[in-house]
Amino acid sequence: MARVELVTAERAPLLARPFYAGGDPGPIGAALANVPELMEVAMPFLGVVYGPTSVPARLKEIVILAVSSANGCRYCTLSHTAVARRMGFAPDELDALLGQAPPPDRWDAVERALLAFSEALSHRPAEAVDLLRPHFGEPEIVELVTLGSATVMLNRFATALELPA
Amino acid sequence: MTAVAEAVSGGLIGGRLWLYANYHCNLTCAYCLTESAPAVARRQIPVGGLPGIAAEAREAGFTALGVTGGEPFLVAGMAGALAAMAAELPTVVLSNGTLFTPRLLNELTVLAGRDVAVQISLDSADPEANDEMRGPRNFARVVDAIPRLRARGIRVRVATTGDGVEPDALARLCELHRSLGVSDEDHVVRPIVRRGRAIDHGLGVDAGLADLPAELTITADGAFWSPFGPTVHGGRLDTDLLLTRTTRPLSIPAAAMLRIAGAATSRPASGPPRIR
Repeated sequence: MARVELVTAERAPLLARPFYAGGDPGPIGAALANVPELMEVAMPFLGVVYGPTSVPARLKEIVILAVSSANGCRYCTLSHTAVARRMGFAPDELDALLGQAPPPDRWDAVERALLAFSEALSHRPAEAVDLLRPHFGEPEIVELVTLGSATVMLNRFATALELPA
Repeated sequence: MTAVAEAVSGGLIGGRLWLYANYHCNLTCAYCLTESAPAVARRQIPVGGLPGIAAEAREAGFTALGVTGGEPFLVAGMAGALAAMAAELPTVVLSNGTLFTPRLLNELTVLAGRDVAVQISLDSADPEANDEMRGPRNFARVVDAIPRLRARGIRVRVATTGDGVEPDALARLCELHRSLGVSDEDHVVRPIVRRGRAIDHGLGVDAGLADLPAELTITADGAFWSPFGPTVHGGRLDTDLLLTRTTRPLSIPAAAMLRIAGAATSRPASGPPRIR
């Protein structure tokens, strides 16, 4: 059970209502709805960060799941394991992203760099960007750091509030 | 002209800024929107902060202030705060009219001649009918208080809340308030809104966003669309009409209100608010 009210559609504040128009906004949205002015900016921000961008979705999912695992976030790890499985990640790839096995031999240098970047961002952030430089330009680096950092933020958010997976 | 002033003059939102001074009350009325009672959490806006909010409201472009609760006169220092608020904008304070002891009446002399009205609830000229909703001896206390306030130079308004007040009963009530020195202009009749304790008693009319006056309302829990918004049911604050948790600077909830009001006007016309 979450540590705060997960706001239902019937109790959604005025600024939060648009985010319920398509149905349940999920536990993160339902928790943010407690502070509608925060939800009003956070949801579009998260939508851009996690939505389609110049970095391919498969590479972004590596960062999301590996960062969530490195930060021990139960909610994010469970929900994004399901997402990654739907995206076509194989069981040995999921094991690597969850820190339970080394990356499969078939992974290329970019995928390995993202795995190492995710671990570094979580524990030694000052070293993280150097791992990306051989493979990405600056706009992509900024995007990946934003993605990883937003994931760390949501890891803390979901863990502290005990959001149900 | 500020954005709020433009919206008020254009009729997009109401000019009165409401403040929920507190949530506790010495009465436990059957139709109370906020489930107020003696033992509920007070959730006060610090009384010392009220004049500052009033000044901010004037600068923002609001044209009047309303103070409600709970029973505002349970809050120590309310008389002085109202005097300071009235120096900024015309102010009305809603009261159940049962706490006007000689000591409080003396404190209220600071309001004499100021642009403050004390709006007292009185639902019927029949003491039994009135007290059934509002509690024992309510009628007698209110009828005693109104002339005492007026004698001190304080403007008094009377508010009647009820489901379809019968014409005969209304006529008797108007006769009563006139005999107490309250003009027809200072008598407001409003329906019971089915929120708060009124739900449990099967009273009132359902009212949503379009039915309620767009009057920014500040509480200890956040800013709401209307003074009918920050209701309490089952001990829990209703959030369906919450605008923002941030209340100051006022520009933050005011901007949110203007966005919502603007969006509402872009929808097909549904007529003016039913509840006033």
